[in-house]
Order: sequence, then C-alpha cells, then structure tokens
Amino acid sequence: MYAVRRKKMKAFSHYFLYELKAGVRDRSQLFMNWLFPLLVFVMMATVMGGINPAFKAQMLPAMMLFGMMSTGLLSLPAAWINLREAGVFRSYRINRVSALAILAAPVLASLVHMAGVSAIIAIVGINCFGGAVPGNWLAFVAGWTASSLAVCGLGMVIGTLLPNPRAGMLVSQLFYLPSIMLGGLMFPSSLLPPSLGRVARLLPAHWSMEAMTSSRSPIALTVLLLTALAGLIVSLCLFEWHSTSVRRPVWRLAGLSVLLPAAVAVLVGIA
Amino acid sequence: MNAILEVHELTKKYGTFSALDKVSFTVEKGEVFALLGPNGAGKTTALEIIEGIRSADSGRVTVCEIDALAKPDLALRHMGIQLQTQGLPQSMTVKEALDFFSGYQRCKPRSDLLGRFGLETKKHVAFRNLSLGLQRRLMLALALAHDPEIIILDEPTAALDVEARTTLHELIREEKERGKTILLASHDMAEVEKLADRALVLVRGRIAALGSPRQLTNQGDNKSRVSMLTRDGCLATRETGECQDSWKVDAEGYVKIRTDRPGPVLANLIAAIDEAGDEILDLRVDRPSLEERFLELACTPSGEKK
Repeated sequence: MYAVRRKKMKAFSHYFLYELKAGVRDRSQLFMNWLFPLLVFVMMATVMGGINPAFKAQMLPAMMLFGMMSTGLLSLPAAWINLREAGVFRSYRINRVSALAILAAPVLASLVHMAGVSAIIAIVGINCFGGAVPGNWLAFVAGWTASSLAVCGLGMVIGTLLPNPRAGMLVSQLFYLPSIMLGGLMFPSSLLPPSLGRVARLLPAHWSMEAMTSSRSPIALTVLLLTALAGLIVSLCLFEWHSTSVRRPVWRLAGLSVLLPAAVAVLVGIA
Repeated sequence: MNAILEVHELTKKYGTFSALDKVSFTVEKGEVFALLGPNGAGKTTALEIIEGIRSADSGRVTVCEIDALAKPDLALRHMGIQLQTQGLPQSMTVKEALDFFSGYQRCKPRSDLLGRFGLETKKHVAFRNLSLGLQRRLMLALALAHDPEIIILDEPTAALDVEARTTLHELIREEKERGKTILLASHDMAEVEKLADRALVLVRGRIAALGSPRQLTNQGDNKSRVSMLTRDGCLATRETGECQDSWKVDAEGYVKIRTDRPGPVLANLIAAIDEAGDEILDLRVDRPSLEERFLELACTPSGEKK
C-alpha cells in the first residue's frame, strides 16, 4: 500500500514538474503567467501611482490579484481546453492518469507561477513604486492563498465545462474584465453605486481584495475557500475526457455553483 | 489457445443511433485480431469501451479475467493502447513522455524502447517537433512501456508514408513474436491481410463477418479475376459463353473475366487465342481480395452476418 502510494506521488511529481516547465516553455503561457502581469504592473504603478496616490495603498494586493487572474482565468482554462481538444486527456486516461491529477498538477504549477510574480510585485512595488507594506503579513499571505485557490477554482470550472477555446476565452473574459473593473483593483469597491456593488460582491475578486486588505478577512477567506472547493467538486464531477461532450449543454450551468458561496454571502447580508 | 479478451453482447447507443448492437467476440492469447468496418461502423466505439474511456449501455467485457467495465483501471494495467486520436502536450519531450507515463503505469521507464523505436536521438525533442511517423512510434512505445499483455492499435498506420508504415508493421510482427496479443482496427485491407490471424467485420454496429482473412475472402462469391491482353484483340469479339455475365473489355483492350473456375476458363481462352492466330501480351489471375469482400459486406443493406 505504502509502495503504491509512493509510486503515485512520484508520478504526480513528474506531472507537476512538467506543468511547471510548460508554464515557461509555452510562449502563450509564459506571456500570460509572467510577462503580461508584470508589464501591466509596471505600467499601472507608474501611471496610477502618479495620478492617484491612494492606489499605492492597494497596489500590492490589486496587482497580485491581477497576476493571479491572468494565470488562473486566462492561461489555465485555455491550457485545459486545448489539451482536451488535442486528445491529450484521452492519452492520460489510457495511461491511468486520474482526473484529480489532471486538475491538481496544473493548479499547483500555476500557484508557483503566481507566487513568483507576486514576489516580484511585492519587492519592486514596495522598493521602487512606494507600494504600501501590508499591516499583517500573515493575514495577507492567508488572503493571497485563499484568493489564488479561488481564482484557480473558477478557472478549473471554465476549463472543464467549456467545449472549445473560443467559448472558454469568452467566459474567462466575462469574469476577468468585470473583476478588474468592479472587484476593487482599480479603486475601492465602496465607491461603486449600490446596485453595481452587489454585482461586484458576486465576483471572487471582490472577496480577494477584502481578504488581503480588510479586517473582515475571515468572512472573505471562508467565501474564497468555499469557492475553490465548489470549483474542484464541480470540475471533478463534470470532468470530460473527450472533446465531444456526451452531456447536454444545460449541464454547464452547474458551473455557476462556483459563485454560490459569494451569492449566499450577499443574500444573507454579510457582504 | 485461451481467450484473453471476451466481449459479450456489447451495446451502445448515441441517442437513437445504434453504434453497437449486441456485439460478441473473443480474442485468443497471442493472436493478431483485426476489427474492420466502414466509417461509423462502431470499431472505435467498441475499442474505446474495451479501453474504459467510454461507457457501454449493456454487455460485458472481460480482459485477462477482469471485468473491464466494472474495473477499468485494473483492466488498463494489462492493455497498451494507441488511440486513433490522441496527443501529448506539445512541449513535452520524448523522454519526459516516457518518464511521465511510466510513472502512472507504475513501471520503470524503459529506455530500450527508445532505441527500438528509433527515438534514441530524439530524446530531448518536443512532441510538436516530431514528424507524424515519429509521433506514432512514440505513442506505440508509450503503449508498450508497461509491457502489457494486450496491445490495442486504432488505425496505427493512417496518414503514414510507406516507409513508416512498413516499420510499424515490422514492430507489430515483433510484438506478436514476443507473444503479445494485438487488437488492431484498420481501414487498410492489405495491412489486415498481411498481419491479422483473424478479422471481424462490423457494419452499422453489427457483426457482418468473422474469421481469418482467407476464410472471410472465401465466404464471398469467391470468384478470381482473369485479365488478358492480346496482340490483335481477338477475345474482344469472341462469343463469351459461360462467362457472359462477367465478361468485360476495358478501354486499354484488356479482357476481364470473373470466374470461380479460373483453370478451365483460362484453358479455353488460350485455345481460342491459338485458333485465331493471336498472341498473349499480358495475363494476370488474381484471387478474390479481402477488400472486395469487405466492400461486398459494407454494401449489404442490413449488415447482417452472412
């Protein structure tokens, strides 16, 4: 039993290491994981930091979240969809690679890329652009971890349920752009009109900013971790090995359950 | 011989379309068993159910005495599979692929496979940079990495050039000589005639014929083709007699006859040519081919077993 578990872990470590390398080898992944978030960070820190001094207070969480979303919402789902379309998941299936491994290895590799980008943002942001140092690093790291997991959970659902790269990119953008505009990355969510504020609270980005900047982080952490868990469960239950789905398209709506923790928080008025 | 793979009344429907309708067959240990059929006949569906990547509506599949429908992961240990449409991550190198899949098959990476499949010098080449033939060889090497008892190949030589096809045929023969059982789905009748011990023809999800390539061929009308060209074309105007129905003259002047008694027919023709003072320029007698028999079966409206 122990030997089998050790072999499984060794196989998984091969998979994880390959995914880690693929995130840099593959040009589109390299761009989305590293170059794009860092370029936008330098641009935003230069421009926004100059015209809006308040931006410096949330520069670190905002730009780290931007990097997480580039990786978790744009790069990760596209990679899964492309692999499924190319028949790679079928190759994995016949070689006894589990659906859990297919979901977990890229997520773990993405977390490493996200951590690398966030570390650069933290060092450069604080030392070169005057970004505010988090008051409580431990709470900040907890918020960062929960946020990255939630973003990956959402990306996982998109990558699992969407049938082709075009549809995947469209749905990714449906979360990505509103998250940037309404999630509190550019300006605090409290400045939004009440109706838009309620919509913003449905987005994991809002809770991520709360978790990394606010004193109410335990609630935000709970919502984010439940979002990540919902994403994993939905993805595992509805995982498809083939590019041609045997399920009716209506099943894809089950993916919306990833927003359930945030929706419940809004409904019970704790947002 | 004993059965290593048993398929019993396998049924699969996609909506109202019946992909497999109570298909049953057994594959004996050490044989090359071919699955034939036109597109949409159910070959790939049958293979994918055996491989555990599609579910069946009903029926039973036993692989090395394991219920493959109930325990697909356990059954997969005994099978090495090359799918019709499968891929690898584009940036994965040959060595990474071997390490990766060997890990999941819980066996040590067999570097000897790389040499055997001509991939030794391509160890650090990414999958996207391999030619189609090398990609197929790599897939076959990965299928054999855990030394499986059954090797399942779905259209292994499709879109390959003649050289790559010949190499793959040699590799398949080698595996048979090593005592492996091979289940082969193919559109290439010549390939099946060359490699297979037995073949099963599926038409519209049903078994249309089963037997050795020779048996399948003999189950048809079993008529040989006689083609003959003469200097003066004396046969073109000759009374056709007993071969009247199948007597044809093509644009190049070849007389073509289909007959189940090529010997006497040939003797009569040669006598007639002598009598007319003509001379044979070209002569060919072909046995009925598997391809002809396959076309005959594929065009049968019901696809019922003959």
